[in-house]
Amino acid sequence: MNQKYVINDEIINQIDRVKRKFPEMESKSSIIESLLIIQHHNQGFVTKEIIQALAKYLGIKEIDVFEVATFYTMINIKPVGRNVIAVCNNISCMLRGSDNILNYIEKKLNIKVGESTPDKKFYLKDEIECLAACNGGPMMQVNHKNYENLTLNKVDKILEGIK
Amino acid sequence: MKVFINNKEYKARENETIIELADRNGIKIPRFCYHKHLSVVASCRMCLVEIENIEHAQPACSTPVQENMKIFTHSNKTKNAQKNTMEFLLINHPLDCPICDQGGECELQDVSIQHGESHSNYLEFKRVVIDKDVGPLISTEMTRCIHCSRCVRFGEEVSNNKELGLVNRGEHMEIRTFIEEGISSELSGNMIDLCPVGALNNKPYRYRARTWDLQQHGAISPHDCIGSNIYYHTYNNEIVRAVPKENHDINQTWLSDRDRFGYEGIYSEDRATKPMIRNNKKLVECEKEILLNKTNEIIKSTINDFGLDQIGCLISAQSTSEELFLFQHLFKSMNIQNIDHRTNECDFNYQENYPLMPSLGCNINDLDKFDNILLVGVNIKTEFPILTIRFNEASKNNTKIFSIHFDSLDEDFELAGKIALNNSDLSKFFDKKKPAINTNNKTLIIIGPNINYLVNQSQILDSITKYSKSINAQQGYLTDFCNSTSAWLFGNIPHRNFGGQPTNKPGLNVSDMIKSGLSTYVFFNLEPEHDFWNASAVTEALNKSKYNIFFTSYVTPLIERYADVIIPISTFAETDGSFINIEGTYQAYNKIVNPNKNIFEGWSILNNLIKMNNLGDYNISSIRSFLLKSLQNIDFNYSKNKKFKNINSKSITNNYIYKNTLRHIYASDQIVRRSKSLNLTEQSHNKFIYISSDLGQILNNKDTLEIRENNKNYKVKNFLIKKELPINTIVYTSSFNNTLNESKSGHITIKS
Repeated sequence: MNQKYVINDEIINQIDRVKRKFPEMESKSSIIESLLIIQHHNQGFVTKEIIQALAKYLGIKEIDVFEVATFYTMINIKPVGRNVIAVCNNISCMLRGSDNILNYIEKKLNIKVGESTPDKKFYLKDEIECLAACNGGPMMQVNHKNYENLTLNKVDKILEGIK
Repeated sequence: MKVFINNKEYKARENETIIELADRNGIKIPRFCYHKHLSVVASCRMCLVEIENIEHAQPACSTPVQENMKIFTHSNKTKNAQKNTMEFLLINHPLDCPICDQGGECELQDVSIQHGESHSNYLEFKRVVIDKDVGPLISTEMTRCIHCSRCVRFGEEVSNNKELGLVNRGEHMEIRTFIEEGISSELSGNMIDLCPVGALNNKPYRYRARTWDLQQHGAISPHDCIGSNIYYHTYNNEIVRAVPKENHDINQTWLSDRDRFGYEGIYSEDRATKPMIRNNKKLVECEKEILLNKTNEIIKSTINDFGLDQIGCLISAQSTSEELFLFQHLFKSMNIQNIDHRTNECDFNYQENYPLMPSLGCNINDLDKFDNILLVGVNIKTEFPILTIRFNEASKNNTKIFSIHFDSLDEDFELAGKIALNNSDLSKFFDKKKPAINTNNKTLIIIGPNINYLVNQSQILDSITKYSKSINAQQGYLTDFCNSTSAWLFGNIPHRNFGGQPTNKPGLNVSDMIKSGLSTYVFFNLEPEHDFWNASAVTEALNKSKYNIFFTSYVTPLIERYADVIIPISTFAETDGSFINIEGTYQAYNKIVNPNKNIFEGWSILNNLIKMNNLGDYNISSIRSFLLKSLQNIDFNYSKNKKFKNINSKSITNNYIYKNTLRHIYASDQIVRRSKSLNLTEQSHNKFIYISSDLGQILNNKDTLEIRENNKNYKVKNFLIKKELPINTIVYTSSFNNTLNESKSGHITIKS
């Protein structure tokens, strides 16, 4: 990972498409989308080298990209598991018992929130805010798919259904 | 617009915010994130005030005033809001004030005492943030940070060199640099001042003193020609730190790191502390009387035995105006004309055409009023860091800034164009090609000190002057020392007297003085090793001469070896002094610390000599009133009425290889060179030799460069190839050790 990261042409094309959506001088606007694009091609996370390369390509400071990358939970700055589990922690879900669900998953996978399983199968995401499914709380998202009205049994089934 | 604050009527301006109106009228509103020179974020909530007919208290920093608005800064609602905000801020802020350097001048401490409660409802553990090492100038204690983001906004908006950012979010938010990076901005010290708590602190000052034990002395910074206003804080007659003194016309509320930490050089170990004379080839300590007699005797006997033209008097333009005035007064009254201060230069053909004194050509405040600014031979980021802020403002104000230089260097403001040309192309550029600017617009051409060091300085200055006249542009200069203006104005030049008066018999310029080997040299405030265009020529001259008199603050190896008289003099801090900055502002200051008992104030020791020769008797106030009075009578349109002399400098062909020297930001004067903290910075590790890529090809992967210059051969190792350099160019950074035997610029040949 210490080698210099070179953004390949395919990704450059995609980033350029993002850039065109914004005014010319506002290259900071394309940070989020660009990071997501690169992350998608890099096993779900970005590295220091990627941030440096992207900052250089967009003509902005490295710290600007780093701020964005660390602020948003959808961008990972560490290697993570293949399947992303996000348990909503916000008030509606919390009142409906999301803490129990989260504790259960933690125990079941034997990891803490924010960690990945050693076999890199699961990544239990940290700091999940409202995922806009309050009517079905407690809820979680697994690989961007919503599962609502969770019970411990339901969680078992969902997780077992994942390879 | 009528606005009421606490039931009293005030006149407000359009679009003004409540806090601006209150500040203008001396009404106190507590704040952390608000700063008048930074954008408004309203994130700390400390400035909440009650406004009539609005349910919740509103942030004063982001709420604009409205007609008949009624604001209450001391009502119960306001007080309650302040109390709650304070309590929230203290949930995580550690109460380690007794060991915190900010204690006593901490905004959080002050506001907490005035507006907070003595007890908190929160009993949880406080958050801990791991510290980062961000460099030798700033110490961090990030647990104390309250996330006001002033430091981040400073980097984003003022210095345009963002290195600190707000990383992570919510409870985990912290201020830090990018992974494993330090802070390398030339203006980083300002973040120390901006930080309202003890999170970012002055590293060299850490644990040295408590703020309430310090004495504050207003002064002028001597490290560049901008003349930043500065407060030096002293403890037991020693400067322990420096902070900016607000001056809207010059440095606003900012200070460059060089100005802030440069003072450390005063406490260098090689300070001259004893008067010494050479007796039987050995330097021996002596009394002041003997010292003065010996000095006077040398000057007298040189004049009698060898003639007036056998004495060469050289003074640094970093000396105070008082010293510069008395120096030329002493020698010119004796009819000695060999006086000069341009020790870093070598081409003096342009001197007759040079204006009365170098000047920026406009006020610093007016830089953004130009449509185009051409920077010729100057890198603002490393030579005049404080101006980066002004050029940033200008470029945001649609001024187009262009850089023309012999090297391709980065700036922290937006350049509309950048071009690197070698020496011969530089002068041709203004004659033939001409910059691609709209010449109908208001244009300012600023000539930087790196041009003065070049072998074909006069050619370049000549073509720039002709060009700027042809397009009716304003021409300005930036000089290498803080007081070059005074040096020119008060006659520390061989071809003009005080106030630009013509002289009948012009003396020798510095280069001729060194080359022709005079009997006696007088050096004032100059280091032979670093302050001359060619150090080895100076060494030779010192060796050949009969007597060498050094008025000096530091004893360097060459001084120790060749001096016949060492007169230890004050640095800028130990004397009353004044400087005229590049926009022409005369600024005086009083002594900051008392010198050791054997160190003499520069002006007073010169005055002693003047008195001994019956040439007058001065004190600080009589010099100052004389200078100020004569400044009124000086014809500042001097050069406009003068006929221009044609420049016949040596023709320069394209086949030369040019060796040029860049001034290093932290090796620019003798005090800065000795500043310990500045020598630890990233910039100071960055001393390099760059060669252009065409020379790289000639070399064919060899790692040694064999150079022949003025019939001398020497080898250079550890060079880098820089693609952006113009053809046939080698660029040095002036630094401590690598220039000793070489000239600062020249034509060379390379053995391939």
